[in-house]
Amino acid sequence: MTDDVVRATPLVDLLEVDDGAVVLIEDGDGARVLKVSAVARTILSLTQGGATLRSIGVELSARFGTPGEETVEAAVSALVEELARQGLVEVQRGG
Amino acid sequence: MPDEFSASPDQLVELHALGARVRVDLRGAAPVLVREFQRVWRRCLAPSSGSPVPRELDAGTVSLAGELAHVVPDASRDVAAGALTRSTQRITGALIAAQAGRLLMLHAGALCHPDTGASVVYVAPGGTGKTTLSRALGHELAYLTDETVGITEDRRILPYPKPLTLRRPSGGRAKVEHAPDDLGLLEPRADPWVAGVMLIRRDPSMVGVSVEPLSVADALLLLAAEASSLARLERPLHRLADLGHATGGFRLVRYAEAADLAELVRDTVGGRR
Repeated sequence: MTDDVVRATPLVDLLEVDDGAVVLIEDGDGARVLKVSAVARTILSLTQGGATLRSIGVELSARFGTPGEETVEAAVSALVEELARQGLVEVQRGG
Repeated sequence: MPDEFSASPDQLVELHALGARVRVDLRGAAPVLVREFQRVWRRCLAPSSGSPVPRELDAGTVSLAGELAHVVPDASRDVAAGALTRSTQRITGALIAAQAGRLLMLHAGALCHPDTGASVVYVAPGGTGKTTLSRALGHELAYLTDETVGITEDRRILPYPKPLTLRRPSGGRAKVEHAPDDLGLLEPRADPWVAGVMLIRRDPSMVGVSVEPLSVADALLLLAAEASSLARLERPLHRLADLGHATGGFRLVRYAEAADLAELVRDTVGGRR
């Protein structure tokens, strides 16, 4: 699972705000605007050219510290899953 | 393509609105309906009386045969009114399509100070108060639109003074197109520009008016839902945020009756650029 490659989908626009970012993505004939947290915004940045879950976890731990009760892998995995559900990233399953 | 040479002049009408020019093909419509169409659209028949719109866009031709041709001269008032209302929707669609990727277009009404052009833009979903507010305050401030506000990069508004769609006073579901002149709404004497933007929410249970400054993120989430072709603009979120910064921030305004907003609206258009 940690070898899964995460890639950010192209955004129409991204505006930094105090506690994260607001993003605009195309959605069929229309568009959707979403607010994302600072951690999610970092994932979008790290995965512009594709990144493994493992490397994302390492980078997020360095920037934001380790999560309290769950493992880094589990926390990153859940976040990436949510971003994928919102259409903000695509995940290519590793071996 | 319609054969425009076979139409008489009054059957091919050119409208100027939202910084664009759209030809409306009325062939097949009963003469009484053609006259009524031209009457309610009078404010859009000539280019804006202010500064000429640079490079007015060509929004093409809208044929209203499907909407109007089946309406016989002795049709009921409701049938004729419904056909004109659908015509307005078609024209609005054509204008918006022409300006996609150019103007920031908000589903909103707008009024301006007749002499300074300072404008208040009130954003709201359809059927929730834009027309009522335009009508209520359009006797002291100039009517710009009750439907779509088109904003240039330098904060100018390109007016769309369309007919106002109102329910008959006698009740019922039928709606009727009204010329702004018939309702006594003022025309601007200066080029309009955005002085303030508010998202309005009518709540009959409100006492007084509640004004809540919105964070940039919250404002963008709300405004994006009421914007047309937002993704076609270059850096659309930045453009919206810049508009908010330039106008003192977006505000969420809750109110019960349109008249309650008079003071807030006057304050908003009271400044100079």
